[in-house]
Amino acid sequence: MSDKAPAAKRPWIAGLLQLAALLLVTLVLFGTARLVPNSSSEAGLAAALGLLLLGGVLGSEILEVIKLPHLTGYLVAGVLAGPYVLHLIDHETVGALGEVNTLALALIALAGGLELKVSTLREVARSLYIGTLLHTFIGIAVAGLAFFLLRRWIPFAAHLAAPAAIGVALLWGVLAISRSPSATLGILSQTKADGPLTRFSLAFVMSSDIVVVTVAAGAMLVARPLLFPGTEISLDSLNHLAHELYGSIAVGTTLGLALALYLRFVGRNLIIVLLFLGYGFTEGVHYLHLEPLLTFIVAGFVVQNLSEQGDRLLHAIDRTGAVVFVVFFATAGAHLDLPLLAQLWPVAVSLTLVRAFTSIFLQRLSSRLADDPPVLRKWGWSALISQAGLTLGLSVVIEREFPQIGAAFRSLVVATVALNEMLGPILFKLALDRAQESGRHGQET
Amino acid sequence: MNQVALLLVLLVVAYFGGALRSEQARFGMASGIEYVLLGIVLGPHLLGVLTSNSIQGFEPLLLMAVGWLATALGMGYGLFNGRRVAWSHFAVGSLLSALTCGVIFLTVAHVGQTWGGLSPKSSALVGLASGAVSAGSGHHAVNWAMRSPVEDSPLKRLLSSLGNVDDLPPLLALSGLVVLAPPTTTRDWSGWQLAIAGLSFGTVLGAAVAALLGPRLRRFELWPVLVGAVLLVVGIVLRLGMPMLAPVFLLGIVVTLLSPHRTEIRKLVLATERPLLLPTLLLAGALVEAPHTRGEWLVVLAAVLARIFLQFFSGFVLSLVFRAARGQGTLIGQALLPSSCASLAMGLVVYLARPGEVGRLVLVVSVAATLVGEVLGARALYRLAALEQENTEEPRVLGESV
Repeated sequence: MSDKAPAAKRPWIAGLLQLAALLLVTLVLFGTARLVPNSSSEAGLAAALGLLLLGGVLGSEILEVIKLPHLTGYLVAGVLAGPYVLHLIDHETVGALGEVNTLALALIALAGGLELKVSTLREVARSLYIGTLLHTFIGIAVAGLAFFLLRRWIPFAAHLAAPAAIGVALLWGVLAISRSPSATLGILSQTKADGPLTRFSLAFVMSSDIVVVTVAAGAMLVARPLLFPGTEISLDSLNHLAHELYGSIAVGTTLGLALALYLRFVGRNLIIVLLFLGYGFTEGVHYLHLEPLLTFIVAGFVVQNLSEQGDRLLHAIDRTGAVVFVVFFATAGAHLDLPLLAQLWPVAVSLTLVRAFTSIFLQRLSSRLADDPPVLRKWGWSALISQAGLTLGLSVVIEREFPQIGAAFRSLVVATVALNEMLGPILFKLALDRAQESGRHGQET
Repeated sequence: MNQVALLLVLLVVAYFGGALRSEQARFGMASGIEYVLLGIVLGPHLLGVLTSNSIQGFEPLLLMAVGWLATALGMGYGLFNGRRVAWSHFAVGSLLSALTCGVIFLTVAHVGQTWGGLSPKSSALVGLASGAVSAGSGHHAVNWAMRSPVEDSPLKRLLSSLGNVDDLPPLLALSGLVVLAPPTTTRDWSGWQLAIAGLSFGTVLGAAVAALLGPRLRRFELWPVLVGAVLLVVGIVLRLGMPMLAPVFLLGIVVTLLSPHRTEIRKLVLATERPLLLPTLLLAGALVEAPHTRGEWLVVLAAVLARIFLQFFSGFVLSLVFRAARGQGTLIGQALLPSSCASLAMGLVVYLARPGEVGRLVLVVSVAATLVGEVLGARALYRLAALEQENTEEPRVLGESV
């Protein structure tokens, strides 16, 4: 590396260069899209991937000047390039880019498990226990109640009978307590943060994944008879749920042990191994009707806590994720249905505010009850605002299970996730900066 | 085979490709032709394990992979062991490559039109593309065969340098396809304009990437920026119907010329070459279709024979020009027969860009030329390596006896 390069001495030169490059790339693609409006899928896909990668990185560099997180840059690049603003990427291509999500979610879950160290869990066990109980029970109840009360302004819920509305409200409540492991990891990776807030946020967000996936499965069982009168909660369904959870834990443990052995005795071509797991293993887990996210979290947890290979695997995920996460978040940005957001914004904003204030209040209450240090009392809520892939993934499952309300329900989820996705990472980074935990990774033992 | 299963097979192949990169590996062939043959056997025309539908789903990935490989080639262009090759090697290598490309073009175009049953336009296209896929020689083969014990002899330097400078003329010639047959996507632009626009775009974006990575290289940004730039060029040139490989090849050259981190970038990118190449070759093999008529067989035969003749001619010229090659013209001509992965990549791109008889024939020519080169050329390289070893050991033995 050349430390004496002129632009390194004067960062504004580098910034101007990046801005010029971004403009150049955008102009070329804009011109091309105008010149050849209908392109082949190969051309569209390659150009879209290229634009999202370049635009995402350059956008994040530019936004970094005003202290915004990289994730926001990726999302903004996706929104701008997407079908609703500059239309550099069309709907079909955005859909095709969704293939990346499978890999990204597997990497996020695996990295999430790897970040869950038993020592950290012990350190924050009391806060975690109280926080999880409060958010799970009171959080679901408050968010569900808000949905129930606001339903007259929600087109698809306005005409539902009370029991059905309660069922949908319950599903909404569960989604409201889901967080974003990817956003949390993305911000921590960028800020290189460490400290009580970092450790608590990691432990809470990653373990809440497991809680949410489990509670969502249970909530769908309860919601079914409310939405479809005449159906009952059957033992078969409970059996299925138990099979899914225990099966995922068992397969995840086996995978974790196999990965630990591979890392110990072979340890090469890790990127290819991760691609294999992301696509092949996920497919296998789906085939067995298990939960991929839970499986990968458990696998990561096993590698981290039952072997000495955790950091090595995390490093490989970081390298693979350098490309995958940019595409994942930029695609999420391109996916944002802006017209829908414009249509549903009063309800979406209200539900987002209820969720945010409930999360803040409950976390402060939890910190007080757990006698947390002041930094957690003040900022412990900051990682709980973001929502992204996990929430959207669960909404897809709900759409599949409840087709009558599914599509409209999912649209509302997308609208609120859009707001949380944009706001959450900014708040979390701000909190880490204010708590003076940014840049402290590796400084403490 | 469904697409997920095929993806897993490709990942397994890539895994072994990565393993072959290691210094301990002593098996496999330099160009990876064995993976092409495996693809032919598994493909829809023989065993049918890989079906046309499943392969079709991978075409976008294939194009992206080939684009990346061309960038990697561009990053190694004109270099030997990380240093610029000698100007004499550069000039002679480029001239011989351009000559080979031109002569094969004329030969194949003539055979195609006279005996091959091809239309004048198809003959010209097949001729030009055959010239492009046949013009290069393989530096991988030289490094492979002469790896040990002769590490850096003058002859190895010469052959390896030639393999590293002869890719540009055929890639530029390939750009001529759009001049001969402009695409219908952009009616307002002539073939020349498209070709020049594509090359300019690769160059400008290469400069932009170098500028972005220039002042402070942050590793987590290197991959998204580089991969993003390559994919953007691939996407745009495909969208406009421009030739694909030359722009990304130029992007690679410009990045390594302008970036202060060229050594690190090149090292990182070259490490991806083999794992990406082998699955690509497997799929390319599955796309190979035997010539349909006797005339088409003649076209392929003409291209292969012309290449053999021209490589022997090149060996003769090299033996006249360079002292290191003196007296070994025939052997060197034979040693120039193995071709690089660029040949197969070009064949694949033409296949995808020009579906029908042109693409089909050019892919067969590239596979046949690579296969013949591998069979005939590798032995010559091993013999040259043995001769070099004898030459280097002789003075030491004499010294010991004194």
